[in-house]
Parts: sequence; structure tokens; C-alpha cells
Amino acid sequence: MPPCLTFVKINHNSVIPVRIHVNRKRLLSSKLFHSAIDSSHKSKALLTLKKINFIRISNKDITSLTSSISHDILEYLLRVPISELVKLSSDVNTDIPVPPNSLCIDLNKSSWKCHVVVPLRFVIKLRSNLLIPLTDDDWALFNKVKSDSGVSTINLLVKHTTMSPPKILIEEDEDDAFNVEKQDTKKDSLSYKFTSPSVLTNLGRFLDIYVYERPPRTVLPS
Amino acid sequence: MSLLFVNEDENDDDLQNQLSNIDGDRSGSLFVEQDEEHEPQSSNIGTVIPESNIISDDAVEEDDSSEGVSDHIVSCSLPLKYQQTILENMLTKDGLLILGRGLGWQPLTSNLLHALSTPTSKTSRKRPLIFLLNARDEENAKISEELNELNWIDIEDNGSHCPFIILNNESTTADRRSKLYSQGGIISITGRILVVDFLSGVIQPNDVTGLFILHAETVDEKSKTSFIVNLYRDGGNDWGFVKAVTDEPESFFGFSPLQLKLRALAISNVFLWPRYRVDVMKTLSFGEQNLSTRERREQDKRKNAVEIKIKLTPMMFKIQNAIVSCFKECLSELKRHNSQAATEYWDIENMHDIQFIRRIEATLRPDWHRVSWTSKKLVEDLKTLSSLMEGLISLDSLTFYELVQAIYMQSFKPNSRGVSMSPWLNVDDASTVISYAKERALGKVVKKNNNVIEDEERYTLEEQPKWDQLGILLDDIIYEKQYKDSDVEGPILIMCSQVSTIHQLKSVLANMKKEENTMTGKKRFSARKYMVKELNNYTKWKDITSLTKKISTKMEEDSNAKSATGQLSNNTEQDDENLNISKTFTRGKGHPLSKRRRTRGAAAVANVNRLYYASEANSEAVELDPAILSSLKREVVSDGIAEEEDGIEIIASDNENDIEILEEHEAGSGGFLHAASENFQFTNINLSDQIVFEVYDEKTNDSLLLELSPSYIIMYEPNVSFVRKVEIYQAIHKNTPARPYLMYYDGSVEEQKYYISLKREKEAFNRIIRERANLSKHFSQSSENNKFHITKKDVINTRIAGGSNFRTGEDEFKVVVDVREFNATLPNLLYRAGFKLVPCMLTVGDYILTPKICVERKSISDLISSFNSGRLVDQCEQMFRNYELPTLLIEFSEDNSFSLEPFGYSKKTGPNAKNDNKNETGEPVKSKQEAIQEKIVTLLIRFPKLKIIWSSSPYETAQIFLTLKREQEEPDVAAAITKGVMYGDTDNPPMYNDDAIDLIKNIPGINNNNYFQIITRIRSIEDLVAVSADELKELLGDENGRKAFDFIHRVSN
Repeated sequence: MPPCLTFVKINHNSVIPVRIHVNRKRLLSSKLFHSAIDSSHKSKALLTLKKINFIRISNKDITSLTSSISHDILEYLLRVPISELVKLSSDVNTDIPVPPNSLCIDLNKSSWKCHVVVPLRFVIKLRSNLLIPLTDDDWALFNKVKSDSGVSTINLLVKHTTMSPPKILIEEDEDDAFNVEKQDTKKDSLSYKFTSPSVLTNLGRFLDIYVYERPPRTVLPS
Repeated sequence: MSLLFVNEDENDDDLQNQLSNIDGDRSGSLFVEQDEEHEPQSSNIGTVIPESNIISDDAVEEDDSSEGVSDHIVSCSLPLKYQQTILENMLTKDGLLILGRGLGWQPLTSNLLHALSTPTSKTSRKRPLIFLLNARDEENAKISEELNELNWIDIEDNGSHCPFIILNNESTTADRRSKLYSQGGIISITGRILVVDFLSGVIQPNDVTGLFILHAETVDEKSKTSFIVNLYRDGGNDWGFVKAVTDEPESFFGFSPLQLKLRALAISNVFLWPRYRVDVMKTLSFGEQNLSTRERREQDKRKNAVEIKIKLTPMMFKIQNAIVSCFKECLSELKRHNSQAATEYWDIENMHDIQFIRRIEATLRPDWHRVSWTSKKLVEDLKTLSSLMEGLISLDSLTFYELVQAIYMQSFKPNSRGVSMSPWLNVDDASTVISYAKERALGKVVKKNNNVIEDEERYTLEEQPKWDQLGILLDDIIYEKQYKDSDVEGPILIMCSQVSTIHQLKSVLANMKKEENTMTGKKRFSARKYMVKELNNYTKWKDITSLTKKISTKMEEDSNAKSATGQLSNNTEQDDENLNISKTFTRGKGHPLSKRRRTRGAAAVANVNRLYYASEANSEAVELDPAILSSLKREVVSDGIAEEEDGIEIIASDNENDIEILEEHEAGSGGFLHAASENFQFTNINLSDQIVFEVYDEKTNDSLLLELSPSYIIMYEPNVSFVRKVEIYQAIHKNTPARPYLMYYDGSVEEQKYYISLKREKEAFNRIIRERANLSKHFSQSSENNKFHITKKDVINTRIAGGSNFRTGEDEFKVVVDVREFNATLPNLLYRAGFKLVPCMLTVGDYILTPKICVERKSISDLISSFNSGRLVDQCEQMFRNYELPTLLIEFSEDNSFSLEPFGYSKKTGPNAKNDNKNETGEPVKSKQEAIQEKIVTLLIRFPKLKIIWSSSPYETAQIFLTLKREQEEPDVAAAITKGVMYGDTDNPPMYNDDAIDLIKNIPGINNNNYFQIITRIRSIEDLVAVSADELKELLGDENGRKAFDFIHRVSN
């Protein structure tokens, strides 16, 4: 079950790639996924394979997740001193394998609860890219941790669409008559533009969010 | 399905039969009968026995007793049928899996590892120990993630999960590793560490559950992986598994490649899964049965790729043809020069093969010292031409022109010997390339302007035809998203082959302008603004190149004047380096047609000069006309304003500097100019508003599609492996398939490349299938595995007298090897030759053969670098301090010629290679070959007793070692380790007080051989003087000790 890759805006023109993993076991009851097992099959078999289904977090959920943790995660990523982060990270108790030289932060204050795993290099580089003052100790730490496996090449354009009511042209002479007709066939005129935010890919690995608890679904009254 | 996709679905009955025959064939073999009993009958994923998952014999018994009680359920995240079949096959049997490119070996691997690592019984507390070999960093990261996902699901079923550990550096100590091994788990390890641990007994082969080998294509009998497999099997482990995976069938070539590979891996089964295998085809060309016609049509429309064939512009087409014909000429010229080496493969048909030039080079390499200078230049030219070819379709017209110009200026510069020129520039079509490249970018066209009376001159600035099409496509997609499928929420993914293309496209799209013909409704997207921006870059580039050129000509002139006298000595070499091109190649231009009319060679000289001067005009990059430039800029600016006023269509980036800022960032130095106090946010960008760019990358693309789950996929360039990944993605997401688009230039190199890679893969598979069908059956007894041992009595002629020391003839041949040496092939071969290897951290030397002989091994590149750093002298000094017979082994590789000459040439290739044998300052450079020879001689003068062994290959070295050790005693391991280590300073190289050593060497009785005894025991001269006669005698021997004592204590009258 692959994580979900998305981009998160960090200031007016820079974005970072973020991957959201869902710990299905803890999120949902496991019995849903046993359908594929042939449990009646008695044999000398040592192993039985069972198929699992993919689940994906929806766009709406991602938006809800990011806005819910937004304050906390920014606090940790940008403001809490690095040394404190390292200390915090070592106290977190989790079954997520945290790669070496990475931090693991438990965000459990909001309705979405998750672990955030982020390489130490990422945090320091992000801060320096955003011109947040760093201490000499931070840089020393930065040089100490080994460079991660490489720079990702992923890149992004963002589409901005705006809908505007169709232009009603006032018929001035006969030449425009054709145009007016044509315009009228469309409901709204769509205009769009692309902006190219800078993707901070030189930070090495992605920021990983491991969701382990979500708010109850709000069932809309039918 | 459309054209490019269909091609590989081609159903070859013959081959399918062969494939199924092979599978049927298996039932005849010994193993299968046994297997078939357990072969699951169920159609879905069934119950399988991983025979290899048995931890040890005890574990089996335990399992038998608890049969039926422990039913281990292991999750598997492979949704497709064929993947499940492969998983079953691989679990039940050891084997080599050869998978078609892009069919996703990575998820398969993680699922296999997950299933294999599950403890088979609850009673056994021991976890299986599995080694993953040859995994690269990114792969480790991905596999670790996928395993983690699977563990999450299974964690409660099994109590504890199997950790995935990556061991790839020195930092872990043997103790720690030993502890890790005993805990079990999946360990991704570098070959060197595992070899050392096996040899030094940190881990016993019998404790290992199995080996899982990735990238099996790289394994051959010399590789470390094969060494590990040998150590593992020879160590008595015949129950564990060895499984290997590869997705590069193309690398199986040569003489019976499959058999060799299987032998290197000690595996007897092969699983072949080409894309055209029926199971794969069925899975990938899915279709729901019970759908209405309309629904099915809709689905077909969604899942099948839309191919967008784009015509090259006439000028691009001409350039492409010209490059191809240059390529052809150079190739046939190369064949003419090397008729002995040329094979059928050297054909223009294969020119689009990615490996083409590399293979030609590989054929020539063993004889590189005999290959003529012209041939070498020709090979270089082939590289240049293929890079041009790539540039033509990927770069914009201006950058392409810059590239052509740069290559031209590089390879066509005058020097003291006249003009040295790359051979391809002699071909007629070379001028076509250059002139059309110029025409395409900066040719002047007269634009008929309706409003202004005077016609305006402008640059062509041809745009890539793909840009326009991409614009139209995106426009359509955006409209479609808006009006039709509001439920589709995935992003748009654009894939291309290079990072530079990503930047180009981003910039083009952000600056694109839509031009709609109101009469016909036809849309067109103009990237004029982007091209004008590029024009600025061009001006900068031009300024810099003209400046550097000026400087270099000035410098050349200066140095020519200086070195005019020193020229003569270099003449002989120059002759070698003159181009020697046949008449057919130049169509008689380079040679006098009739010798009678002119003096010998004059015509050639005149010809070359004419060419040079005639193209002098070409050699300078075009100067820009400021009037046109400013008018272009005006045009772009006014366009922008017009757009904003209209407010209808704004396809311009928000901020003019966006691109620049981006580039600044990626240079790494980055830093925002905004205040730090800015408000930061953490907001998700709506998935459907994202247009994601990524490059084709075999390693990471596997998961990209699943992670991103795009709703539209635009393949800007065709790529076999990615097309298949899209197919897999479509098959997994049957209900919400993405809509793929594939863009390519009709009749272009790009298209050819795609076809040829498909063809080559298919051919490779066919070859392997045939070989597999004819493979002889291999049965082995367990004792056959046992290692080949050499004992003294095998080698020594016992009839020679004086061999009393060696009477214990059962001793094994032993060599002490430095652990750092295990990256080389030699230890592997020594092992195979029957030596017993003892890995140690050695301070002095690399191999200790006998108590006297110490060998420092150097490959040629090592040799050069250690000459340059001066390390070799230190190493020799060290050896002389500790051993009687220090030896320098200079080892060549069997792929290269056994000669120093190939190393004499500059390694630089491509357009930047230097043509002449001079350095920047114009002084004749000593050829590297001479330099190496000189340094070796200097070394010998300094250490006259140094022995040098020249070996043509590691194989020969093993032979030499055998001969050297024949009559000698075995080395003492403990002594070898301590030698060179001074007083516990383990980390740093020992420091010597050289002046004091010189002094004591002058004392009678102390000589080169025994002074080391003194300096290891006595710390200072003062102490030495105080030493008693007996102690000195003990240190230096009776005679020498007495002499030294007498010298120190003699009182002069």
C-alpha cells in the first residue's frame, strides 16, 4: 500500500513534497481485509498468502490533515531549536522504522494524529532556505550527518483556474455577430494560468507523515 | 491500442510454445514431482510451501509436530495475477527470475522478502536470517518502506516482525555485526563486508537462511556475489535458498550466457517473464466482461494511450538526416580501419541502440594500443554525433545551435601543426548540420506586417513542435477536467527523460501564449516569449566564448613563440596522430587526385586550409542584431500587456523571476530574498491543480505512479519501461484508470530508439528461452559443492631434497589478505584456486604470501593515483621496514590490453576532448605512458631491491602466487597484523624519527635488515647507549650485537 505523494505550500512561492502513509491496521479494523484467505485449506503448508487491498487517502482528507496539523508542524519544522528537536525525537516511541539521522515527531494534539519522519538535514536546509537564523551548532550538526541518498528530480507547476461569466458582446456591427454566438455556447469562460513555485527538492528525502488516527467521518445528512 | 503500445503485444506462437514447453519441461525434472504435490490448486493466491524457509532441521521437526496448528498468514500487496504467480514460483523454488523491463521487480522483491522472513513456527524463537545483496541506496529505501507497510498489517499475526537492516559501511564492528546476525532479520549488506565475515568466521554459513540477489545481470564468476554464493554453499549450507532477480535480459549475451550466470549463482532454475508471456498479456490487457458497450468504450478510451505523433519541422528533418549520414560515414570509415575487429553488429541499423558506441569501444579495448589515432578520433566522433542527435530533439533551437557551435569550435581549432579537425567535419553533410542549426535559430525572416508599412526583419527562433502540442493537450485536459470529469482528482503527470527538459518545459509552459484563430477556432501555442528569453542567455554565452577564445589564442601565440625551438623532439609523435582518412571517406577531397599535377601533399594542405578559411565565417557564433533584439523584446512585452488588458487568457507566470529563483535554489546556494518574518504556511496544493514533472528512472518510477496516482499521464518522450509501468498501473486501477498520452516525433530518432529497445529486449528473451530449452540438466551431490583445496603435497615435488620443513603436507596454502582488498577480484580467484584466505586489517601490504613476501597490489589507475599522491613511496618504505621481499604487483584487467599505452591518452571524451598533445600553455606534455615509466624507474632507483610483478589479469596473478608460495613457509597471521603497528597507535600511520634512524644505521652491526628491531624496542638514542651488551646481542644476534656494543662503548685513546 503505497504512500500518497502530494505537495505542500510552505510560503508564497515554495513548496515541499510530502508523502502521507496510512497505518491501515490502526486506522481501520483488520477484518475487512481477510476476504482473500482460503482458511479452510488444510495442508502441510507453512505459509498462506493473503492479498491486501489498496486504500488511498482522498484529496479532501489530505487538505483536512494538513490544515489540522499545520500549526504544530510549522512549529516543529521552523521554530523549535534543533537540539530540542533531537531530544524530542529520541523520546518518541513508535513502530515506524526511522532511518538514521532522521527525526521522528509525534503530532497528537489535533484531531488527526500522526508521526512525522524527517531527515535532520531536511530541517536544517529548509530553515536555511527560508532564511530562518541557524546557530553554529546547527551547522556543525548539518555537516556531521551524512548526505542522504540523493536529490529528487520531481518538479511542479501549479494551475490556477478562474471562472468568469461569459462576455456578452454588444453587437456593434455584423462582423462580431459570429463571435457572440460562439461565446454564448460556453457556459462560463474558463481561464487558467500556471505558476511555477520552487520545489525544494535539494533537501534530500521527502517529508513523511504516518497517520495513525483520523477524526471520525462527518456523515452528511442526506 | 495504438502503434507504439501494440508493438510488443505481438504474439509469437513459436516463442509462447517454447515458454510453455519450458514450464512443462519442469515436470520431468526431479524436483517438480515433489513440488506438484503441494502446488496450490486454487486459482487465487494459494497456499505454498517455501521450502527454503526452514530454518534448520530442528525447526522442521517442530513444524511437523505442530502441523495444522500454526497456519501462517502472510500478506501480499501484489494485486496482479501474474505477479502472484511469480511470487508463488519464487517461493517454492530457488531460481533466477528474469523479468521484462518495467514489469516491477521491486514490489515483487519486497513481497518475497516479507514472505520469506516470516518465522515458520511460533515455537521457534529464532528469526530467519536473510541477506539482500547488490541493493542500491534508493532501492534499500524503497524496499524498507514496502516491508514496513507489510509488517504493519502482519504485525499482530506474528507477534514480532522481521527488521530490515542496512549494513553498508565500515562503522560497525565485527562484534556488533555478529550480534545483529544472531538476531536474524533481513539484512541488506555490501558484498565486501559479507565476504570478510564469512571468511573470518563472524558468521557461519549454516546460520544463514538464504541469499537474495538483486541485479543478477551484474553477477559473473569474478564478482563478489558469486564469491559469496560459493562461500555459502562451500561452508556446508545446502538447505538455504539462493534467489536472484534481474530485469535486464539484454545483458545476457555472449557464449551460453544463461548457463554461465546460473553457474555463478549456483542456481538451477530460471523463471522467464517477458512482457509477451501470455499470463502477463492477459493481466495487462484487462477488460471487464459485464459492461455495456458504451461503458466499455468509455473504459477503453480511458485506459489506452493516446499517441500524439508530431512531425519534425523541415529544418529539423534535414539536420537529422545530415547527422545520420555523418554517422554512417564515420562508422564505415571505422570499419575500414579496423576490419579485423568489426563485427556484424557494427551496422547503421543498430545506431539507435543505447549501448552501441559502448560496445564498439569494448570490442576495440583489448587492442586499444594498436588502434590507430584516427580510429580513436572516429569513436569519439560517433559519441559527438549521437549527443547532437539527442540535442536536436530535446534542446530548443538556440541551445542546439550553441551546442553545435561549441563542438565545432572545439574540434576545429588551429594549432601549430595547422588545423586539427575531427573526421566527421570532413563529411559533406557536416556543413548541412552547421548551417541549418544556424538557420533554425538565428536565420532572418521577413515578417509581413500589416500595420506598418515597412516589412520587419526577425529571427526565426524555431520552436520545438512538441511544445505547441503539449500546450494544446494541457489546454484540452484542463477544459475536460473542468467540464466533464469533476470527480477526477489526481494530478497531471508529465514524464521526460532529462532534468534539463523538465526545466525547459516548466519555463515554456509558464510563458506560453495562446493564439486562437477566431475564424477556424484552431488553437496554437506560441513559446516566442521563452525563445526571446533564451536569446538573452545566448548573448551571455557568446560573450563568454568569444572572450575565452581571444584569451586562448593569445596564450597560444605567446607560447608558440617560446617553444618554437623545442618542437623537434616531438615530431615522431605527431606523425602518429595525424589523421589518416581513406579516400572514400572524404570523397577525394583530402587527397590530390593526380600526383602529377601537384607536388606531393600540397593539395591536401591546400584543401585543409581552404576548408578552414572557408568556414572561418562559420566558426564564429552569429552576432546578434541589436535592432531585431530590441524589437523582439518590445513585442514580447507588449504581448504581455495586451494579455493582461484583455483578461481572457493569461498564461504567464505570476512573477517574472520565478524561474530564476528556482534555478538559484537548485544550485544549492539558494536563499530567499524575502524577509524571514514572512508568514509561513502548511497548505496542501489541490491534487487536481498539480502538474507534476518527473524524469524516467528505473529505480524510483516503480512507486511513483502508485504514490501520485495521476489522472493524466503525459509521456513527453517514449520509454519502454515506463510504458509498461503505466500498463501495470492501469491494470491495478481498473476502475479509475489514468488517461495516458504518448508524444513522439514521427520518423525521428526517438521513435527508432524506442523500437530498437523493444526489439533488443525481445531478441534477448528469445535467446534466453532457446538456451533454456537446450540447457542440460544438472544434478549435483552435496559433496560436489565442496571447495577445491590445494595442499602442499599437490604442488611440491617431494623428490627435491631439502623439503624437510614441508613434510606436513596436509597444510593448506594460506594467504593473509587485507580486508580492504576484498573489493577486488583477486581474493575471489585466489579462493577458487584453492588458497585459504585470512582476512585481516593489515597496516603493511595487501597480501602476505609467506613470512618474507609481502605484496602491494596496484591496478593501473591506483598506480597512477598513488604515484601522484606519493603514497606508494610510503608504502614501499613500510614494506622494506617489515619484510625481506617486498613486492609491487601491477595488475591489468583482462578486458584491457596488457600495455601502458591506453592509459597514456587523456580519458576525456566527447566534444571537450583535446585533440592535440599539448597542454594549455602550449608546452609539449610528456605522454602519460612515459610519465608512468619514469616514475617506476625512479621508484626502483630509490628501492633497488623492490620486486615488481606485472600481471595481465587477476587470473594470472593467482597463478603467480601459486608459484611463489610453492617452496615457502606459510605466513604467520599474528605477526602480519602487528607489523607496522607502532605502540598502540592504531589509527594513524606510524611516524618515524628518520634522522635518528639514519644515525643508528651507521653504527656497525646495525643494518637495513635489523634496525627495525632496534626502533621497535628502544625509544631513543639515549636509551640505546644505555643498553647492555647482552640485550643488544639478543636484539641483533651475537656478532652484530657485539659489534654495535663495541662501537658505542669504545673509548678512544
